[in-house]
Amino acid sequence: MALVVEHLSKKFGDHVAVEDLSFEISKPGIFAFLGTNGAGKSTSIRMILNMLTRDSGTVTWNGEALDVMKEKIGYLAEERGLYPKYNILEQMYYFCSIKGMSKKEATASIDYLFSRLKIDEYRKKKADQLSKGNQQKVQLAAALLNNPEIIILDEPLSGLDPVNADLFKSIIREERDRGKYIIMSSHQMETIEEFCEDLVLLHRGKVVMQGNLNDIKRERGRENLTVKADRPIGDIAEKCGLTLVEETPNGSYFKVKSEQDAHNMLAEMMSQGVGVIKFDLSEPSLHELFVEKCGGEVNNED
Amino acid sequence: MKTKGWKEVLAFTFIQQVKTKSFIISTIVIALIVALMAATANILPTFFLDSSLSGEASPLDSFTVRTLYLDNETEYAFDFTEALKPMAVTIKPVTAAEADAKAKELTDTAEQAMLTRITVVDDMFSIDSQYAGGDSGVTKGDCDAVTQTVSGEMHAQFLLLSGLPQDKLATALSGVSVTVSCAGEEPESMVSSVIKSVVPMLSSIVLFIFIFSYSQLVAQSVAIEKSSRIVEYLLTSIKPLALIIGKVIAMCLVSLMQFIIIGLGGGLGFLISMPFGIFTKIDKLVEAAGGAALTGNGLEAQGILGDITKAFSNVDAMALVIMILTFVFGFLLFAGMAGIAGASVSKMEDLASAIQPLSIIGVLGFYLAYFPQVTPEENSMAVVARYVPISSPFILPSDYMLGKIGLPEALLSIAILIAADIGIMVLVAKVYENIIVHTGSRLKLGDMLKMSK
Repeated sequence: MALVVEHLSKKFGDHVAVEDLSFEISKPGIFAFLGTNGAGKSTSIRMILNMLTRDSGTVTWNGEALDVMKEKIGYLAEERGLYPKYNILEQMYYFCSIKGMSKKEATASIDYLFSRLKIDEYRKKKADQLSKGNQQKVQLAAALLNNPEIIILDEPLSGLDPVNADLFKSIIREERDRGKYIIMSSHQMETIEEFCEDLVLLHRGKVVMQGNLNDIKRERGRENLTVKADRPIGDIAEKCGLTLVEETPNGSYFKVKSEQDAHNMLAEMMSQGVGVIKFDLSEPSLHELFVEKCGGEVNNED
Repeated sequence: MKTKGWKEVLAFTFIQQVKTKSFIISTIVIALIVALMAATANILPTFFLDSSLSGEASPLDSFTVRTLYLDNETEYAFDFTEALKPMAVTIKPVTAAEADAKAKELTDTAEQAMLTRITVVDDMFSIDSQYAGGDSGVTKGDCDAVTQTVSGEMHAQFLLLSGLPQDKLATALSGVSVTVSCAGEEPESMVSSVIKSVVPMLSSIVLFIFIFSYSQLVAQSVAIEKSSRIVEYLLTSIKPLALIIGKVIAMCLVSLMQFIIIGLGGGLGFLISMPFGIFTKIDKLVEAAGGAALTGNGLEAQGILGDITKAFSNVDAMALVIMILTFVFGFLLFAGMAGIAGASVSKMEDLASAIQPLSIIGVLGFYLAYFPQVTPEENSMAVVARYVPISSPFILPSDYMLGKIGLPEALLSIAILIAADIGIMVLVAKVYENIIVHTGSRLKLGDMLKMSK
């Protein structure tokens, strides 16, 4: 099974919201869908879900055009919503009914998810009586009601306290382990690195980075060098041709052009008898890659 | 299928709407007020009837007047013996001086008697009756019955004494019936004329309130789903067209239900008040008259009720069907427009300005239906209003019920309304899908159409 998005484009008047977006999720797991504010993520998601007409492009699932009404799809939108004045449980049964679930299936699903998300006590409350975090839990439950095969989570962890963020993460992991195809959008790069293998990064409607995260990092090589020594090492760095990027209590941070530069630095330090407390040569973080690709200019429209 | 799931939307929207406090309270309060108004309208006229008729006459075996002291101060020797024989009333002539003394005596007596003075002032007969008080038990109604008999008999005898032939007497005693009508049309009473003015006006107002207020609720409901972003979640399971269809039909059923409950409240109020109401009162008067025609205000009241019945002679099952069809299709028209207005905003605070054009259309339709009904004559504006979809829902039911139009005209008007509904639903289907997930500033009609291309 595979979800294939090919050449999606959308314009609003003269504004290009999304241009030639293509990606494929060929195996279960969590796919990162990244971008700055206004990069076109929500527009792309809406096109994938057929809420917005596409100017061009196709979305297929198992080789056939994705029929949102037919397939089981779970969606947690970035700007989440519930009916503010209606009873939570009644809203859940309504969502189940439009997803074609029987009353029995609905009850079983609601019972499981409300218990799992620890929101059993809020069943009879109105949405506007709940805290933002609890509303978010209800909405995650709503997204998972019909045991969907494809799950789209737009900023699932935003606004959550650490305890609830961990709860959400554990549920997302469970869904991944059940073989679900999950598209996750987030601005929390650590979370993406924690969960995702493959990604696409949008900037101003265009794909600026795409592929397997480990491959991308591997291609870039290890270029971040952090060194902490028992004495200042500025002279050694200068001798080795390294430029200091930042001095922090954890050490001096350098960008190296090649791994050989780092090796030279270490050799020089050793030859001069410098006590090395920390010598860390690592790949760039996703955060760095993101900023590098999209940095400087952001657009707040989406 | 684009409309799959509309029934679930309908059920949810309907249940949530009828569960709201505002719906429950407004339905109960308005139904009670209408019930009270119906009961009042039924009972109130009986009080005027009582006071104007001075009560009912007792049956003959318990008639409370036995003696009539008659002071005839005219130059005519009227004889009421035969006329009062059925009432078993004995006539005792008295002079003016004796009449004064008798009047004092009757204030506190056990005698079942009354005093009647007949005088002539400025060439006009005057009859003044007083019935015995105290323990006499004489009723005002019986005194009035004797006085009416004396009055009628006095007129008859005066005409005969003046030389009128016996065979012309009945004609001379009957009133002169005056009617003014257009050639080729049935003459119309004043009551009927009033009914034909007031009922359509009330009907227009009531229909406008229901159709317009509930269609605005559709706009509000759509806007809430948009502004709360719940719509994006719903659209992963249901098409926008199904969403709006379910919502519009649900609101239509809610408003129809409230309309019927309020109507039933009025009917119930009328039924409960029936034993004390005007119809029962008239029936009792007719029964008391022993099959004879009613006289005076009783006759007038009977005539008014007859006119009311005649004015609503077209109110049958077909009229109710036409009313419901007009209501439903009129609602669909305005609710469809309201749905688009609601979908054009992303924030609730923009809703008022979004529904402003709808308000203008609604008010325009209302006045187009209302103004022709203020004038009693049939006019070209009324003809236009009956066939223009934005006004026909407010004028058609009353016009059909009052017989201003026949079934073919009513059906034609409904057919045009249905065609307009189809048009608006096609527009809704085209526009709604494309604007429902739009966020940002309010969309104008031009933007919406552009986005739908």
